[in-house]
Formats: sequence, C-alpha cells, structure tokens
Amino acid sequence: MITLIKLTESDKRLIIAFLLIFILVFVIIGLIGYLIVRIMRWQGRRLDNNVSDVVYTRVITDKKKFGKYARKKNWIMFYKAARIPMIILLCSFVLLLIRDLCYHDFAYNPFDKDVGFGSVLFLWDFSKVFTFSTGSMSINAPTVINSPHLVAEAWCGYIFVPFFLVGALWYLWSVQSLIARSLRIRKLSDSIFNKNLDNFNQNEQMMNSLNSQQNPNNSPQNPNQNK
Amino acid sequence: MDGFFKSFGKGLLYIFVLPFFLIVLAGYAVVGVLIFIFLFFKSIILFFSGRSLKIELPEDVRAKEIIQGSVPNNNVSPDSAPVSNDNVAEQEAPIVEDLPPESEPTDKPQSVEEACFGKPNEPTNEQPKEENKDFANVAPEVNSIQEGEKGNYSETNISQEQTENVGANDNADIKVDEISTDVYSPKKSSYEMNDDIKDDDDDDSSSGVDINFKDF
Repeated sequence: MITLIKLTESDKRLIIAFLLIFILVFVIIGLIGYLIVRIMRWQGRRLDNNVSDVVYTRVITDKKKFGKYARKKNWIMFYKAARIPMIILLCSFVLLLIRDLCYHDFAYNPFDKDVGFGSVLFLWDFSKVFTFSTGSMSINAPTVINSPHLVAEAWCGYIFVPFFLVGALWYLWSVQSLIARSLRIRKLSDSIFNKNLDNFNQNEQMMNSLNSQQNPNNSPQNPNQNK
Repeated sequence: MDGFFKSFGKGLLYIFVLPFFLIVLAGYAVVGVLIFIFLFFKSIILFFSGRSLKIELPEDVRAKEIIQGSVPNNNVSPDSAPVSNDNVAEQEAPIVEDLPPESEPTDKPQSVEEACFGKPNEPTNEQPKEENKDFANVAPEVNSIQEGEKGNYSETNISQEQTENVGANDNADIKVDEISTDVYSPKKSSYEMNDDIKDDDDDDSSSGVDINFKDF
C-alpha cells in the first residue's frame, strides 16, 4: 500500500519559507565570499608598493628572481604584521599558565559555561528541536540552559577569552594577507615577465616604420625631433 | 534579479570551496608560526650584531641608488630609466633632456665644466688651485682656457691628472673616465720616458734649481 503524503496549506507555507531561508542563506554566503575576495585583492595590491621600484629600474629582469625576491619580502611583511597579535596571544597564554600554576589545576577550561567565559553568554540546547513520532514531525523551541551571570572563579576566562579571540582573529587576518600577497606574486610574475604576441602584427609594424620614414615630422616614433 | 541568483550561485560555489580554503588557511597559519619563530630568533641575532631585519633588501638599495643617481647625473642609460608613470621619472625627465647626448663627445667638456664649476663668467669659490684639486680632475686650467683652445689643452691636462688619482668624488671620476675615453692624448714612448728620467737626474745633480716643465 502506498501512502501519499498529504500537505496542508500550513505545511506548504512552511516548506516555501524554508526554501526562501535556504536561498537567502546561500545568497548571504555568496556576498560574504565576494567581500572576502575583494578584501584579498586589496591586500594583494599592497605588495606592489614594495616591489615597484625594483621592477621599474630593471634591477630584476627575471621571473624566478622576482618570485624569490617577492616571496622573501612577503614573509618579512608577514612577520612585521604578525608581531602584535602574537604578543597578545602569548600574554593571554602566560596568564592562563599562571592561573593554572596558582590553582594547581591544569585541566581548567576557560570556555566552560560554569567557571569560564560561557557563564556570561546565552546558551541553548538544540538537541530536542526536531522530534519525529509515528508519521509526524514536530518542531520545538530550543531550551535555554544558561543565562548571563558573573562568577568570581571565572576571572581568568573573562580575561583570557577576549584577548585570545582578538589575537587569533588578528593573526588570521595577517595569514590571509600573506595568502593574498602570494597569489598576487604569481599573477605579477606572469603579467610582468611573460611575453605576449597576441596583439603583435609584424606587417603593421613594418608599415608604421615605412610611414615614419616618409613623414618623419608626424611620426610618433621619433621623440628626438619632437623636442 | 540576475545579481540575486549570481550571488546564490557564488554562495553554493563558496560553500564547496570553503573546506579547501580553511585547509590552506590552517596550513599557512602553522607554517607562519614556524617561520615567525625563525625570523624572531634571526632578528634577535641581527639586533645584537648591530643590524636589523629590514624590509629593504639589497635589490631595493640598488634600485634606490639608480633612482637617486639618475637625478643629478646623466650616467643612466635611457633603457634603465624609470617608467614615465612614476613621479620620480617625471622629475628626472627634464634634467635628462637638458644634458647633451652621449653621441656628441665634443660637447662633454662643456657639460662637465658647467656641471662642476658653472659657466666661466660666473664667480665660483673654486678658483684657488688647492680647492680645485679636490674636485674633478678637470682642474683650474679649465677656467683659464678660452673656448677655442679647450679641445686640445684640456685633454692633455686631463690625461696627466688622471694618473695622479686625486681624491675626487665618484661623479667626477665617472665624468673624467667618460671624457678620457673620447680624448686622444699623445703617449710617450719608453725612450722618451727614460730621457725624462735621465733629465731629471741630471737636473738634481747639476744645479739646485728644479724646474719641472711637466706641470705647465
């Protein structure tokens, strides 16, 4: 016996709402990805300031040497950019280590909801949101398991977690800049040193040179006479 | 509406690419920590040795020298001159154009003279001979030379003073070298050199007056 699923009007509306949310989620992800791509392009272009002199003065005229020079510079730029976030991360971990040494508790979790940073956050239990019974599915609201409250024992978590998050995000920003500059180096190595004959026509060039010989005053290839 | 669905398509694509991007990011983060530690210790060693971990590499120093050298001098060939889009190049362009081209060697003494000592009518502080010797090997004789006689007389003086190796600056040395390559100076044969030495010896033994006509 085949049982058909009967959809009521409210079920249909629910399905349409879920589809719209699904599409919106992907649109938002697409916009965020586009933003990340634009930011990485901007980060990559900042490499041009540091390598332009060498390229303009033709100190480097080889693709491999340019890549080696630019990669070396890229790592030095990353080191200089990552110093501050590394110091912040180091200080936060030193604070955590001092707390563990003072309390003799090396199993302390600074993100814990009882004695950690989680005590100042709203936390929900999503395990019972969707329940399936015989032939039907019910949706329940998530239950709140923790509301914000201050705990004296969690002082280390209150200091460690914000500093850790700031340092980690800042360091990841530096790493993203590093990746963006690496991609820019690959692109510049091709565009600067690769020779392209797509728009070159030998016959056109010959005709231009003949024209310049016939009309030397009007030719743009005679800069000395234009002075 | 097209942009809406394009964004939806890009979102789907980025969802598939996200795990690979995160793997690459994690890899670069781990390698970055290792290289950071290496550069940290390297910077400490360089600090105690009197240097520092500079973002300016030797290639940058060389490029700066070329850019700065092409502004006061005309020693940079046109091929190595910066691109005209650069502001530095725009400043250099009129200076390069004002100086005579290298294909005309007869004009060079004029440019060197004007560049080092100014025009002959202009009063300069370099008239005393002692001060002139510190500058280019084109010495005070150039000031006293009339324009018509410049071609031959300055050449011989330049060739003589070139051998003395007076402490001139790099620019002057480069200019003198350029002049000397285009200048003919009659070379003395070994017999003539020996005669000169014998004459000097005779002068020292015979009389107390030592007149050296070479300096004239």
